[in-house]
Amino acid sequence: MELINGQEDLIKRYLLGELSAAEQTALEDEYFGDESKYDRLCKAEDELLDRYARDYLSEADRERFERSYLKNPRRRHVMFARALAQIVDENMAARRAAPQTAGRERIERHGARLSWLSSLAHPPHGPRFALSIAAALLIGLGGAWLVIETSRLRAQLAEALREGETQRRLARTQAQRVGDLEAQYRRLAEERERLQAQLEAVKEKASPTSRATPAPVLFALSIRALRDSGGQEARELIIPRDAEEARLRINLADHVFPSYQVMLLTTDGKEVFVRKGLRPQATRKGDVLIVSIPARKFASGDNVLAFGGISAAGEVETLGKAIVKVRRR
Amino acid sequence: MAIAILLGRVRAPGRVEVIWPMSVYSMEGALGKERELTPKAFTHLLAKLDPDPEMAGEKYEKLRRVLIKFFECRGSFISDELADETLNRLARKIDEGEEIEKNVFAFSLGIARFVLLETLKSPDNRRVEIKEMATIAAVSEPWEEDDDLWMVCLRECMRGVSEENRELIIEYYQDEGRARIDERKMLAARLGISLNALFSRARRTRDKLEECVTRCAKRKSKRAS
Repeated sequence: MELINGQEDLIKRYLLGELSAAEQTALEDEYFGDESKYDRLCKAEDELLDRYARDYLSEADRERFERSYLKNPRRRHVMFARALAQIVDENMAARRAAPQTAGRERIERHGARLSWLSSLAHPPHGPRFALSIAAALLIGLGGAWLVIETSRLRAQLAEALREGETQRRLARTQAQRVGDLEAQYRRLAEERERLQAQLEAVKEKASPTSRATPAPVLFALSIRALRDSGGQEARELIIPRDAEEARLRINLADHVFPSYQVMLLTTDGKEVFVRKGLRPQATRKGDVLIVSIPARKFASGDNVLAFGGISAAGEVETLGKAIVKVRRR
Repeated sequence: MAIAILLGRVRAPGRVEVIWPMSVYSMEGALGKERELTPKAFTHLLAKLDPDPEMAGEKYEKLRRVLIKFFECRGSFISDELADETLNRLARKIDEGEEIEKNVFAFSLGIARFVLLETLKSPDNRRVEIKEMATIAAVSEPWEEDDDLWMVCLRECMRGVSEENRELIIEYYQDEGRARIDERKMLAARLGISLNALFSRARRTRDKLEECVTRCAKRKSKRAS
């Protein structure tokens, strides 16, 4: 028995690709070179495949098997073994569920029993014979009880094994489903993060338009007002704290210079801002000059705005000045 | 025997269905295919296997299965082809009058080892050690991994075997451990054959079913794609 187990173990190791080159050659010589021994190798492989297909292998053997068989052309044997194990189990379950179709074996046994009973119907006479019949009956009944009990226990064991297998399969399926769901959840979370980032980027992009850009402060002056004030009469300009520019609109009574300039000065005549080469725009109300002056250039309090025309020769002629009193709020 | 060959029961070399992908090892160029096998050489091979033509056919099939298994165990992806090349060479040697001192199976094994070595040495093939061959992952095709497809095909192929063999294979592979051994003993006794003969019958049916299922899975997968 030990020898057989030793040989089976050797075959198993061969099938799992775990023998040394010398052992491999020796085993091949023995089992492939002798057709009668070849069956033993096939039987060992059948058992191995079947045990794997039914999940009866130990964890270590299972790993060894998968390492060897699943990366190998023999993988199709594994697929076949799985399908066969399932079909066999289904068939056996169906047979157990329908005991009346339990097969020829029972019919044959029944037939044998019938012929034995018919011989009992015409017994030879004599007390010794009666005694032996009684003993045979007792043995027969005991044997029958044993057979019934064994089959019942075997059926229970098979049922338990099948149940265990079903549970294992269910657990594997559920574990796989949980794995799939986790992977899906991770994918969705990543997708959500990506979309969130995209949304924020879009918001960020859109912010200059959506964010309320401070409207420019409009400040209208007429050329007459500039000329008449002579820079003496202060005009109040309220600039909101978040305003970035003050847009000055100067209505020209007559447009005689090719271009104009606007200067912002401190009260002591220091130039703060100048914009030259301004050309008037024609509107229904006459020609106007529009110039944007950064709000920060205005000092709180008095500021001087000077307006001039630039001749074709580039000479600047002052056309008027105005004091602008700036208040911020 | 001739009828058996005509009906395809005996797969003569050259009438091979290659199941595994050819891309991994290509036999063209790998093996020095000297010349085609003549019917005379094939007849001599069968006669050498057994004087009874019917038995010779069976032994030929068995020898082919042995050789396929040998090449599979050595990790070859074209076991069928290599087995057929081995059989071709064996038939030629017998035809040329080479004396076979040991049994034909052992002699074939020697040829098979040469064939394998030639395949490995061929510049057309990847140069790998024999040990490494088993660890090379086969390029798996979708049909090879589809459990449902194998089930559908097995059901289909089961309908193609005789009622007796269907019963046999179901009963042979039922249960586990001690119960299985007992069932097999009972089955063998019922059929009036030895346990070894029972195994041979079950194995033959299993091999036929596996071939049928493999072909079916491949065919259905092709049709689906």
